[in-house]
Amino acid sequence: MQSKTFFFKKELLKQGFRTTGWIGIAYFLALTFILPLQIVMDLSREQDESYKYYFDGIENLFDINGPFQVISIFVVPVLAGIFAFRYMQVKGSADFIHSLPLSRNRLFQHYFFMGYAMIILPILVIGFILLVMEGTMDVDIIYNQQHIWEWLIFTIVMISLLYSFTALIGGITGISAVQGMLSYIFLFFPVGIVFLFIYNIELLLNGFSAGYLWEENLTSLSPLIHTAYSLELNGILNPTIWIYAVLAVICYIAALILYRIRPVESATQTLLFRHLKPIFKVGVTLCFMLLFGTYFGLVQEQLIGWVIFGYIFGAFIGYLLAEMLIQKTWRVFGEWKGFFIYIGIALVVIASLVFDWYGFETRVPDAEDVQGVQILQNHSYYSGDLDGIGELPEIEDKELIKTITQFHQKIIDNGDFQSGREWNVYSTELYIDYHLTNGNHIKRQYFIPSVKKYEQFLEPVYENEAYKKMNQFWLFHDDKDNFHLGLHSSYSDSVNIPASLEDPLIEALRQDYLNETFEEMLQQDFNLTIEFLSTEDSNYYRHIGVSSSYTTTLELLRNQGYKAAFSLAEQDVAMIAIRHEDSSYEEHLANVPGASESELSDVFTTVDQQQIAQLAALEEEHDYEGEWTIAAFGPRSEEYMTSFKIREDQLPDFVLEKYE
Amino acid sequence: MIQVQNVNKKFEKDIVLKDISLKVDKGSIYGLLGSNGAGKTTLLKTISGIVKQNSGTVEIERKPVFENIPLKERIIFLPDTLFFFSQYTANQMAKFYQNMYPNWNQNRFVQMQNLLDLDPNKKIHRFSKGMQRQVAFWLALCAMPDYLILDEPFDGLDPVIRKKIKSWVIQDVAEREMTVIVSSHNLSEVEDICDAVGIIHRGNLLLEKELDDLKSDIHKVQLAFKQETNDDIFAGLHVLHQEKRGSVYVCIIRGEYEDIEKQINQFNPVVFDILPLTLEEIFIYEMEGAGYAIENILL
Repeated sequence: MQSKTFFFKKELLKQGFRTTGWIGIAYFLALTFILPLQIVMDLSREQDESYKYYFDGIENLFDINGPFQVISIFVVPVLAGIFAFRYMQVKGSADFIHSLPLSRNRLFQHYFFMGYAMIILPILVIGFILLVMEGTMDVDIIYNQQHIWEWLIFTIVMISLLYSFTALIGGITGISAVQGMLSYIFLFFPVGIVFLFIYNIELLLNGFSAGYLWEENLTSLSPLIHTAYSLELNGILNPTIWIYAVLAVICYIAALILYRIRPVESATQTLLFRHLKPIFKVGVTLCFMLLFGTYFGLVQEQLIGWVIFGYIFGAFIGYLLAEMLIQKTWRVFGEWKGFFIYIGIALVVIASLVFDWYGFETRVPDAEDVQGVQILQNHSYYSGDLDGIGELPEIEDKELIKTITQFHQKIIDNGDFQSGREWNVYSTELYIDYHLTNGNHIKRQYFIPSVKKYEQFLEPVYENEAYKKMNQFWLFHDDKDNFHLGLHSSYSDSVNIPASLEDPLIEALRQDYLNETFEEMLQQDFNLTIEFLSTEDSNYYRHIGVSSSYTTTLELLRNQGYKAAFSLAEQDVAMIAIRHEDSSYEEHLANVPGASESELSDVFTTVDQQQIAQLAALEEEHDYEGEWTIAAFGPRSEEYMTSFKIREDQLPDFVLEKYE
Repeated sequence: MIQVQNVNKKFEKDIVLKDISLKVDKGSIYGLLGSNGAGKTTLLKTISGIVKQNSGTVEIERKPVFENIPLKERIIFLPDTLFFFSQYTANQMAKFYQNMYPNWNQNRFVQMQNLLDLDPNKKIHRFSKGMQRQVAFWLALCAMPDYLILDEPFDGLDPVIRKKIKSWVIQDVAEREMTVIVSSHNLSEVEDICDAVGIIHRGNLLLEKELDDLKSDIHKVQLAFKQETNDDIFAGLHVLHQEKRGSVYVCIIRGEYEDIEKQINQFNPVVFDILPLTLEEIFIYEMEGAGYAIENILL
């Protein structure tokens, strides 16, 4: 006789295994190929000198077939969740299973843990295999025990969260396909909806800024995006993983509670609880509205007419889609009351933003009330690792704050931002964060078509020390251990700077950068950059351009024998071509070697080494505003190297003679 | 004893069961009649503890059924469309039942297998419909339930199998006082086994009767007299239906046999027959009295 007190019923587990077992087996096989087998294959190739990848070691086990691992984390738990609870989405089996003498609690536990075992066991077994390999084979060059533990924790937490979340979603719908679809939607939803909201408010409210870093902070709202993101950029065991672990348990408990009140007869219904339907409808309509608004905002350059069209069209599509899903038919063209109410409310909200009923767009703080200001240029999430930002300095100079508020008022008065964004060399995007004396912040973000236009305001800002420090904050960090420096120019790929030179070089860069004038900062013409390469992450680096005004830095580099790396005069130049900006030859000078004699009638070319030396030396004095362009070719005369501009009075006589 | 009191059930906005009350005595067979969509299946699922009512009580032996595991171990519900796990054989299903139902009787399972003459290691879904029905009853009866809830169990079966299954059920009712509820849309299908019958229509229970009461209570009377008579002859009798064909009266009269005989004999009829009614005729007249045309509800 079976023991009556044993919680799990053998036959029910068997039956559960028959429906979800294939997932477990397939997952195990997939993982075998992804990890142990791959490692064994790599090991047998170890002799191959070219196979250097593993000699650097790996950061974590996701470096091995990472994309496949991520895909399996995305797909397997959702599949398992759908199939484990398939029985309650089919009428016949739902009735049968619930007629059995088992409490709902027990039924849920049986099916939940059967499905869960199917995704956890393969991971544990693979972990065990990796551990055995680590003990018996020579895999130290690839991974160590620490890697296995990290991998196990990350994979188990992510998989548990996605699985229990899918189980939870199963509780609110009666169709397996909808269960899968809703699971994925909700896993992306938090990020998607916040992104859409912020983007659309940016679209409608001039000057709105969500603050820098908002995109980064957003990713952890979606476990899926977080997985991809953390494997790309951060370490895998960041604190978010523990939050996910707690969420997984919460989802499990919520799924259990929901299951106990879930009516059996709701199998084959799209949404189980009646009051979910309007929420679902509004949700889908809103998402599509924002999505289409975003689309037209991006494609049509923020023209408000098109954006509004996008909103209405998107809401229309979303509303129809939601209706179709709920009613399970595509003949849903009768119900328009809800749609018109929605559109009415939405238009009022949009109008309130467009016409700025809250005074958001015109609000400029009184300089008296401002304690400090941060102004950042073109900040973005693509600029790399921002963990090191810490507390950025603020502009606290009272006079300058006043200038900034005047500048802000000027931007609003001019209304430049209302036309489309047309970028030129003087365009920028400025982020202003006022830190008020009462502790509040006012954050705004503006596209500035031309910095030059606002010179009277921006010159003192650009030349302010705090401004300079906050915009290149990394240059002033003292975490040299994490970086090594490299030199990059038109003439040479990365040249490593020896450690002994790093300190003086950084010091020189800081000095030159802080001394740079507004004019010099605008002229971003340099063919020499100093790179700060991360020692930890090969994808990550920062750089600073060394223009001709960086005299201390250039002097230092010259004295240390790096001139060959960045000076044209040191290169093997075979030919030089020169033209005036009014020249009849309108193509880029790089095309000169292929041009015919007649086309080049007013282009000066020379192959004379003496003349070349004299012209190449001009590079150091080049002038961005000059009307003459000099192009250098070498080491063979048809290979274009570089070009720079120069004023007429700098040109040697033998060039000017040609034009007399 | 099964007791259902003032049960209401809604699916979304549709009312499926409206204030239903009924009682099934221990060891009796109750027939639940109604057309398709009347709410029979929902009522049966509520009684089996699968579906929870919105209000009212469903009790077996004075205990609520829903989520009552000791009770559910003694209840078997057979749905109209049978359910077996896909790819399962009869033996595998039997093992499953054995694991679920503590009263499972393995001896009986083996005995009945010999009677049935089918291969227990063949996958159930390969069997014919009639065979599958027999397997379902075979499994259900071996679980030795005290309460057997059957939803349209005889629908589409040939008479031989129908008779066989009925005899199994009656045997268990007689031997172990098993209580049975059986639903059908066809009265004649179940009248031979039921002790009591209830008719459900659009979620309402229209009437509920003990069949013995019904049959002894209602009579079809044919009368003819030599001379013209007036309606005095029926004074004091409860006439449900009356018509005159030539000089012959055909009446449906409710009341004791002796009372009717005594009353009519006073008028010296030349023709006087008291005939038993078929159950169906009884229902037609009963329902007429309640203001319904039975053809719209049954058949």
